[in-house]
Amino acid sequence: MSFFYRYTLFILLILRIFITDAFSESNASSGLSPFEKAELKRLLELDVSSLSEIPVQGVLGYEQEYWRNPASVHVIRPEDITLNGFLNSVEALRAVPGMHVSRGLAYDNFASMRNFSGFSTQKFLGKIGGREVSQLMLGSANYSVDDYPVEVIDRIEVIRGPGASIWGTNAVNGVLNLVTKHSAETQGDSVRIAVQDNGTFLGDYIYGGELDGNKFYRVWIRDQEYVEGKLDSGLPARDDGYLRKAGFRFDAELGKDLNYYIAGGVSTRRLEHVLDLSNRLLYNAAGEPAFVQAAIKSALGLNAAMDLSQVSVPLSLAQGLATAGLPLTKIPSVMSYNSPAWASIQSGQIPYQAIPGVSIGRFDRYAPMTNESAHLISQIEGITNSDLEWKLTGSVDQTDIDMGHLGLEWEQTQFNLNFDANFALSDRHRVSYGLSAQHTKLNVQSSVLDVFQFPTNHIGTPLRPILDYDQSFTKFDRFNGYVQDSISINEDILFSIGAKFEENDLAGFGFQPGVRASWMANENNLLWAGYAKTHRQPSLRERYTDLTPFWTWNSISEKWVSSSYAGDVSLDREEMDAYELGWRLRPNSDLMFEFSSYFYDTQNAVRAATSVTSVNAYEAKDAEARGGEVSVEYRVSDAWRLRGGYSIARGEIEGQRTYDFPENTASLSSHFKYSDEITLIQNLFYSGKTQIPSDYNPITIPSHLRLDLGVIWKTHENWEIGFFGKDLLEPYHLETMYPGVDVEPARVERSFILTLLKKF
Amino acid sequence: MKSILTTRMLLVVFVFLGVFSGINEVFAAKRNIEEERRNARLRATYITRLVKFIRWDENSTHSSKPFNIIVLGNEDVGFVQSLEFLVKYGNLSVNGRSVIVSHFTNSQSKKAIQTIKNGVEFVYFTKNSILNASDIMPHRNGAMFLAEGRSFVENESGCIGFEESRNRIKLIFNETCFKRKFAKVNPVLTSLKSVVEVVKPN
Repeated sequence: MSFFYRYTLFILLILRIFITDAFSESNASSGLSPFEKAELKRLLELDVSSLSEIPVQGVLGYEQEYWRNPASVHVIRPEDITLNGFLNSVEALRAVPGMHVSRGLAYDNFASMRNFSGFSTQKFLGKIGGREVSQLMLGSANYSVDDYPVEVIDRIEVIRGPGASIWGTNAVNGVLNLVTKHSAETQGDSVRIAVQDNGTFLGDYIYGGELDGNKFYRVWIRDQEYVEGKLDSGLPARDDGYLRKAGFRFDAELGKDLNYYIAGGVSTRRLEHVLDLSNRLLYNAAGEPAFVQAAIKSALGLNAAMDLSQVSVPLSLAQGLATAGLPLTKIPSVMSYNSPAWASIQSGQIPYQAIPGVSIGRFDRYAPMTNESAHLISQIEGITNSDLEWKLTGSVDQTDIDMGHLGLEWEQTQFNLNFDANFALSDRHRVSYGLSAQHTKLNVQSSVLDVFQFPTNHIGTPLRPILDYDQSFTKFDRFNGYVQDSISINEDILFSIGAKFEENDLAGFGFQPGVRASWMANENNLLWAGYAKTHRQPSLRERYTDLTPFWTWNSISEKWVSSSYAGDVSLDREEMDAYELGWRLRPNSDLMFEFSSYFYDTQNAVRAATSVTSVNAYEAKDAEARGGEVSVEYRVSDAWRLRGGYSIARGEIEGQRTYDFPENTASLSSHFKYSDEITLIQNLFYSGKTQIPSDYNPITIPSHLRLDLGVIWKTHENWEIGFFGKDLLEPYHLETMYPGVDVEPARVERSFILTLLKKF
Repeated sequence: MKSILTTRMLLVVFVFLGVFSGINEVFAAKRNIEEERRNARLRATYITRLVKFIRWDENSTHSSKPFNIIVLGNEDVGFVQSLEFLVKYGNLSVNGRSVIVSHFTNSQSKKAIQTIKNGVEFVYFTKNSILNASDIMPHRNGAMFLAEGRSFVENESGCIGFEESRNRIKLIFNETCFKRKFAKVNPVLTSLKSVVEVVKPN
């Protein structure tokens, strides 16, 4: 903790220096503050309906765009997606300081936020169109599948830092909240088509209509076709496939200040995914005669004193030694395992990093990975005569995900019911509170892959799937309630205090308090600080799933023996104490700097086990993360707008540095309106290096700098044509891969995209 | 272990409630100036929208002059500055006519009346204005009256009232004001029932 105090003092010192300067500037001015002018500019862009939705007295934590909000917030608008040539909303997160977006295969972008304490995508809460989209099985969401057409998106709020008291469980590193538009705002037709030079295609069509003066609707469809890319080695990535979606929304004004909507969607995705099996069929030479063991050690350059009973090598390596003439007498016969299946998936050699200079057979098994999902959400909201704003939201989600490459399929049905309300206790207090219940049902099927179907007379342990789910845990309930008071202490200080109480089958009973405050130091400077205790519930994968990643030929018993790592039912919730400090500086209405810093102290962070001698697949460890972000928005002129960001982040697991999140990321975006019709776009993204852990094949992803250039031509009132060149600085670079599943990362190649957009 | 946790949580809840109640008692009586300023910014933005939603007769006597918005009375919540900023930043115009905002404090009442006599489009009465709608009525020359509150429309011959109700600001329209031949409200606006309520004056 001594670092924390040093860090806090350092931040305060910097703030002190800058605030002093800004104070002297502000004392000379009067009238509207630069923050107020900036807000007026934003209000000027809103339609009349939106103006009538803006609360006079706000609830801290709800109003992300209110400049006095004591949190680190970044708001993405639909035009931030279309103007930059991003195919979908998750790509737009690249420009958010503190977020790291990386692309694995052609179809998925992974998003992580201020993260060090485990699997990156699991540590923030994702809400899309009012629904919590994380799957209980893996504890993460697929933002490509849950995405919406750009023209129905109102905004994406990225709240860095925990928002436990209002947002609740899993809002650990932050919250991503995608808000869709009211149907009345999507009347008529809208089309968006994006075609990449390699053939990748995305098409959206939306139609909105009016039933009478108070009832509006829209329907939409999306087709996304992925074209096969290349792996780092140049081999085909076999990542072609498609995603098709359709949805609707119906809004009705039931009475004065009583609104209702119902929305739904279905999606289907068909892809293939690989499982790296190169190090999943092992050979243990302990049963070989001593002279053979000595020959093996000599051939592999191992220490002569090494005990080979403790070391297993890939079978392909042992077979190679036998082919080279080593007299391996106990090597398994091709009849003892499904050798045709293994032969069919071998594709050359890869380096065996455990023994430098040695290669092993490369086995990559591809299988369909499908995702079928449907959802329905309905909400009724109103304001009573006593100024109580309330909303009741119910949703049901059905998802069927088949990870054929892992032999795991699950069907999740989830029901959610939420009640949220707020009211003015006095002119200075606005109390918000809520209750919610969630019920989840699961049907999980695990199957043994063909490559691990051994003849029964050749196995020493029963056949097991790679991921074997404990079927006695298929129903889960979660209940919670929260209360928060947003207090205007005086004209300059806003303060919120609140807590969430939760009873959760996965994380037990929990209490998550949060305190935040903002101080308008003068008309140019706003300081804010926050503390929150927040929880993350373990995923079903971590808690109830046994992992059997490899089988070993025991040359003593001459049987195949599985190695299993149990799920750990004792894994309880991760608990994080989060401290944040921030500073918003607006010298004038066209320029804003935002500084935010954080220190996260996590107890029981769930990590994949790092040792083959571990009993469980996952372990709970204490972790710390610290860092900060700087963002700048500058409207240089009416025609030119700049937006930039930088983040630094460091993480430690029990005192040891981790590198699964880049230490430095930065972005710079320029939009220059050359004329009323032509806008020129330039984006630079930098990401520091990351390390992808693996039990035998860890990979370092080098740092990379990406340059995108584009031009938008507004041909008619609502029509735009865009042309974008992406990753122009190099033919390709690498960003990420699934650890332990992918053999190698895929290339993110230079590409050119043509877009056509018809707005409503 | 569980009982210790429960005790601790109860303690935190009590502390929370104590702090909450104490702060409420101390500050409950004071009106939040920030909310007043925010309210003023919203009202000013609404006015820039109303300018566009009302179709003015092109043959009216004002058609060749700038579009005048007059604010009467003293105010210190940034309403006038907000309106001036929005008009300037948004380069606001109506059918090619530039928009001018003029503010007359209570000490400038005579000057204000003279200006209104010369022809203006909007007259906004602040809460502290010593002039009211009946004072201006003889000199209105077609101007529309705007002010805060429903009763301004229902009881004081106002055309448009800004009602702060249920933590939002909405518009109250006087039905008779928009039957006049020289200014028509775009029906799109009056169809937005969540935004506008059309009432008959008492």
